[in-house]
Amino acid sequence: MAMHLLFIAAAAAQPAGGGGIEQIVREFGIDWPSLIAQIVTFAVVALVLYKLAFKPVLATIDTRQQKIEEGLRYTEEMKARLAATEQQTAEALKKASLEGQRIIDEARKSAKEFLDRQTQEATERSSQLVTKAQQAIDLERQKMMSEVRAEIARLVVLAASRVLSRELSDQEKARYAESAAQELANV
Amino acid sequence: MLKAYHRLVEQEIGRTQARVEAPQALSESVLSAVAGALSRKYGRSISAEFVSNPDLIAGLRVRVADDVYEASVAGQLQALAPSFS
Repeated sequence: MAMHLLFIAAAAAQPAGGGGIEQIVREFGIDWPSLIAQIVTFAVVALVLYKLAFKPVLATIDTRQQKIEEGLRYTEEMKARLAATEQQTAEALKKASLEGQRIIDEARKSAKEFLDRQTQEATERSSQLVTKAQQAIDLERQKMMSEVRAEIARLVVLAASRVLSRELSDQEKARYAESAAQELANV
Repeated sequence: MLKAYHRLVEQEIGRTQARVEAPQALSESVLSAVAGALSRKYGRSISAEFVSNPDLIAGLRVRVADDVYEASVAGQLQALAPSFS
């Protein structure tokens, strides 16, 4: 449109010597009123189109572009959050796994200590039982030996009594009595 | 009270009488010797009474009140018995 205006201005500025421009105008068949009318019409249409069509469409396009950008930004944000959540979950799982392993190890250790303690206590109890049984056996044996000795003493005394009763004559008994009387006198 | 008096009388008699146990009869000399020895020992007159006890085997056992003098074979054997234990 600017070029058209320039041509019109050149033709108006050179009425007598503007041969080159008149030649161009004549060769291309340009009608100045219609050209100007067309230019004006084009300008009006362009303006109307800009106001009523291009501007809303561009606004719509801008809005859509903005929404698309927001959506992409939201998506990126969600991806980042998901990645962070996954990382946290992985860390929590790892931590839980380590904790679980630690608990298992502690439980095994406690079980082993309990088993060792119970084994030791059982061994001590059995040892004490054996010692007590041995003491009881020793006591019983001593008691039995004491009873045997007492019985042997009784039998020896009885046997000696019977032998002496049978073997000692009356004279020997009388002599013994005299001897005992003398001994009594010396007491 | 009579029982108590009787007991006291018995005790007084026991103090002056010796019970001599032996498996066979003792001669008078033996009894006299025993009575004399006890009289000297206790400082009072004590008479000896013989009592037969075949379980003594040989020797004699004399009892004066609460005192007992053991000189019998059976008594010595009984005294020997604890030494076996």
